[in-house]
Amino acid sequence: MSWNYDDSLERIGKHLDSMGEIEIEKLFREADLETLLTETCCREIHGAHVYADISTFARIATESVADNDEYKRLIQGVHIYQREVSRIVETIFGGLRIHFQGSKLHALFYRPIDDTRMLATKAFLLLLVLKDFVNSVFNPSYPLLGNFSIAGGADVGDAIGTRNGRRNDRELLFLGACANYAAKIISSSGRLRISKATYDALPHDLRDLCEEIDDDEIYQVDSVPQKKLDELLGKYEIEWDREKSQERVDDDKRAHPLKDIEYSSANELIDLDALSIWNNKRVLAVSIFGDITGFTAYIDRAESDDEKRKALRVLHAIRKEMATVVAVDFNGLRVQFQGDRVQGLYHMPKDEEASIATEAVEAAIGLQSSMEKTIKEKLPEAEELQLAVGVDIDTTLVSKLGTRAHRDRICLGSAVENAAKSEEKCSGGQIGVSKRIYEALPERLDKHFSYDSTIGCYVAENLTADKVERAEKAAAAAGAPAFITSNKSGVTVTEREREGARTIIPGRSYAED
Amino acid sequence: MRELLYLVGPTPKTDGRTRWFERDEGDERLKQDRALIRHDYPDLKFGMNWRHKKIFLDGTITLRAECGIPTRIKTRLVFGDYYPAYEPVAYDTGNMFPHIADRHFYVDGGCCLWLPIETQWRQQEATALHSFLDQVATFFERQLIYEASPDKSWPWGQRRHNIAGYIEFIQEALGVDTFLVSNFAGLLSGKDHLAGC
Repeated sequence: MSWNYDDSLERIGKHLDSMGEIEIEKLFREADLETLLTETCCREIHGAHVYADISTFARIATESVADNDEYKRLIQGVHIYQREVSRIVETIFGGLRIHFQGSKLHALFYRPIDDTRMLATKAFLLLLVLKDFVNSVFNPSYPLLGNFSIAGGADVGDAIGTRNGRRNDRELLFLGACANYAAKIISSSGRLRISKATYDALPHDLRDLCEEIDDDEIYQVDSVPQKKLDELLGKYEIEWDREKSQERVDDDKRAHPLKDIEYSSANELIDLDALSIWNNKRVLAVSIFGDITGFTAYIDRAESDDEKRKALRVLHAIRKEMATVVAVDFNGLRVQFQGDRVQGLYHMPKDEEASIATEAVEAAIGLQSSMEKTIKEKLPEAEELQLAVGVDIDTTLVSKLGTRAHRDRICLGSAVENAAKSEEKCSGGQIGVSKRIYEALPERLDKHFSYDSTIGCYVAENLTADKVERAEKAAAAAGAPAFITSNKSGVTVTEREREGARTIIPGRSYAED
Repeated sequence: MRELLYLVGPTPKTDGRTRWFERDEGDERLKQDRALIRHDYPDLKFGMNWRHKKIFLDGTITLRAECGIPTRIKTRLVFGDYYPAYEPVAYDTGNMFPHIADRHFYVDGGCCLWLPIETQWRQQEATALHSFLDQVATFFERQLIYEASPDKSWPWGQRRHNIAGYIEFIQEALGVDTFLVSNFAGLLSGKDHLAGC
């Protein structure tokens, strides 16, 4: 499997031709966003975005090997955590659970419409309730898993809501600074942070619970005693009842007993939609994240409706092309879209680290090739955009967990976290791979990477498929033949014999100063 | 053919010399060359600089990697007064590559394809121009390979710069070491003579 320029160009063209007119309007009344939004029906939504994460799940998913039940307990725990967190977001707070990115929740508050104060208040209180839930309900329910703590972030502002277009595989996507920033400000475990915009919108009694961190315009939420939290929830009419939450968790544990939870390795490419709490995969896998650098600024800069439509058209073209490169050009799984980034997974051939790593890095190069060569040819307005890619390998839990009808494809493991981190640290045009990936690569690929101590991984700059191919020809010796084929689209020169090729002995180049 | 080319500008004043393409055999060669490259190098077109009365071939050579990615290189071949006895000169007119000796370019963008003595130009062959363009395309491909290879390798070999390139050639041709060739270079060129003679 490989990336090909003509195939890429053709499918991007087809997608653009079939995309239809994009409509962006301001959301001015309550609506079911999951029904309303499509690839072309987009809305500008004023809201508060919240991210909350328990990163320890990922570490356990990779490191836990000793005990069959321990791993099942982790799967059960993640499943039940996601179910109860979803209930808290949607039933108790009236928010929208957009999805879980592995262990990280992304939620949105947009009702009451344009009521910034109320939206910020809900976001703030949700962070406090989730922290309380983990401390008071979840941890006591899973004493054997560890003492988890939650990290979270919130930001308020405008974002464009849209959706990817494939039937049975649709995800809500939110584009705009606030949808990104809330995730970016998440710090170490146990810390809750909010943006200045969120802080400014809060009522005074909630502001008093925050402390500004240096001059970063980020505010950290102080530790709030349970009694104080209950008072605040009462005041703001949030009906959080930790006893009832405990009952729901206990019910869920009974409904999903460890004995019925299965996990296994995979001998063929995983069918993500066949996974569930009962059927999980634990595989040696490469995680890959590809992010469009500068896209948030690009869309925030778009002022007129026409500019916004163009920006969304660019996003949809890139998004679909990235998914196709990951899953069609290469033997991988497109796990999730997360705003303007795509998450992929490679795990075949089973347990063959070098082959899996090679396939994934070839895919990363394919992603860069599409971005730089075909997307920009079809969409010159995308010229300023670039792609940053992060790649790592390790044992990964692959499943589809959560509440019925809202199950998210999730991958949990250290490699998922590290790949995401590498991608976030890389600049546009870079591919960042871990030491383990680097050491698994063949010489023809690893020679393009060098260690970058600032980023903390091995990095290749502007590496596209033609460069990899050409670097392989560099060893052609003096006097060896070159093989040339040509047609109306160009001339191809190789060092390997090709059918129908003309043969020449290239002259030994000379120079006079 | 010749008449057609003149149509691109006013009829030049003649300086009394007859250029190669003004002779019937030259005109025939031009016609053949045009047909020869039409299929494989369709984006190169013949033209004439009427002021200098020089025929040139101008346009783009598109190099396609096997994965299909195209790289378009603006190219010009200038045909001297002694064509086809002598090869044309190829130029990178789009400044795609640095025009420095280490990349085998003259400062004006002219390509140093080979030592003159090692020329691959086969004036007797009817397909000489086509083969020459294959060499030019390969020369540009080598530039791209050089840029793509992390250790900056120049494929298919190169000669050292200036006189060292000639010495290297002679050394290889005679199968002798550099020391001998360097010491006898003066004699071989006729600049030196043996003491006492």
